[in-house]
Amino acid sequence: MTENHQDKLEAIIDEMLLEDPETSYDTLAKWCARYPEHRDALTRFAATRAVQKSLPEGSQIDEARITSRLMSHALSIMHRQGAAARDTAEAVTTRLCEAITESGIPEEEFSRRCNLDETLIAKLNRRLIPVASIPRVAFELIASTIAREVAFVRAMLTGDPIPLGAHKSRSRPAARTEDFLDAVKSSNLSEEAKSEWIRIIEAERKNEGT
Amino acid sequence: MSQAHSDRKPATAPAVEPLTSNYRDGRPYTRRRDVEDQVCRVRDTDPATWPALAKAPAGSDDRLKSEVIVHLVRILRARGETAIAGQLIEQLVKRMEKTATAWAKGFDQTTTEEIVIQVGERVVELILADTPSRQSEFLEVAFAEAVKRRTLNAVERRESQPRTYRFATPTDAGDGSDGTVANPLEGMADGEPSPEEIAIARERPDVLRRCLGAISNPKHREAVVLRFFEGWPIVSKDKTKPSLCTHFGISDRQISNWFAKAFEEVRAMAGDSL
Repeated sequence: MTENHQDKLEAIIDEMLLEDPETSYDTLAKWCARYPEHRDALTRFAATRAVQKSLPEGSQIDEARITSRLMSHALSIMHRQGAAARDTAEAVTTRLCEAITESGIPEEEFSRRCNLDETLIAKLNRRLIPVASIPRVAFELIASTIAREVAFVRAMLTGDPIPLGAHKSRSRPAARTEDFLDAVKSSNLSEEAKSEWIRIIEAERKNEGT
Repeated sequence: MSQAHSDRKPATAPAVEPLTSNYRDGRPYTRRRDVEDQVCRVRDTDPATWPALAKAPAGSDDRLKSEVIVHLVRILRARGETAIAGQLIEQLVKRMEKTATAWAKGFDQTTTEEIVIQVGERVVELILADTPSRQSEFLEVAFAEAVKRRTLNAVERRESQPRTYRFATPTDAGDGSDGTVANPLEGMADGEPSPEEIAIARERPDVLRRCLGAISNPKHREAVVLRFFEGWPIVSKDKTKPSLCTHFGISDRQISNWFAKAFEEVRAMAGDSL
């Protein structure tokens, strides 16, 4: 991930404080020389710190109320994460076709709503398409169609390719993976539907690049 | 190398799972030696005893350091022991409130509480982050500094909004303003305040500190603090170095006028104390 301007500034201030919690003028001047592009922000920060230090004791706050509010925030996060973890644990053992069946939606209807044909569904079901190549729109369409979270769908489609249960040759054939785009091109979707997926993939790639 | 850095364990022999983020110069983030030592002492003990250690009185050897508590919370969450993790988070929240309140002064109670909550919610999110980040790992490096930085950033963002300063009034009794700051007026080379102003700041820093509240203009007051308590120059020949002129975007002459007005108000308040 590209570090943005604010993240970089925060990291610099953290290090400056770590080196000199009092942020003396010499320390400030040194860090301004090291990061001249952040001179004004560093200076403002040091000035704010100095003014705060010079102020007498501040307002009394209702500590009990704030503790209660922050603990509520913490418990809410832990609850959400716990639910997500349970959902993910369930997802990794669930196959797409099972999830479609559980949702009660006929596979034809699923195909229509998600703009996927049976070959694409079969490849997604066997995790033959790397998730990194699957467009965000596809996750969202699948998730809304089967009424699950996007994270659940992502986890469900993530993992090692699943080999076929039955095969004619003596040795089990290697499960060959292919990108979502290649799978679309080799699918039985209409040309119009293929073009739409290609447009979506290109748009998402363009957005990621900016 | 600073004291803070020299107290850090080399990354080659980590007793605790190493942090993954790096300083700007590429060195890895490391916990302080005392933090790692305490983690090693505590992590194999019964977690049920940890909340009591976190609540131990400040200054006692048993009291868990904030950075250690952050690490223990992460251990507990990985084990699914959320009840004890919650008790430890509560102790961190209480410590965070004290630090944030100390660095969010000069506001009314509602605004101060808003700042503390804003900082606290973000710190809680970082403590509980599923994926480690630079910000979340910094909490195990220097918890109080992380809270302080976030609070001061929040204060900066509020600076354009109205605030109510509540300065102490001067009294003859000591109020803790003992002038322990090293005299920053030594070696001043750039633009100078008047000799009388220098004399007041040099000889009666305690009185000046107590009378800051008399300075009605916040900018004037900030200039006095930066010049006389922090030793910032009024101007600097080296343009890369901050100065009062670059910070406020005004001339040295205007800064001198600010000082003149500020000290007039200080003298009026201090009376015979000067």
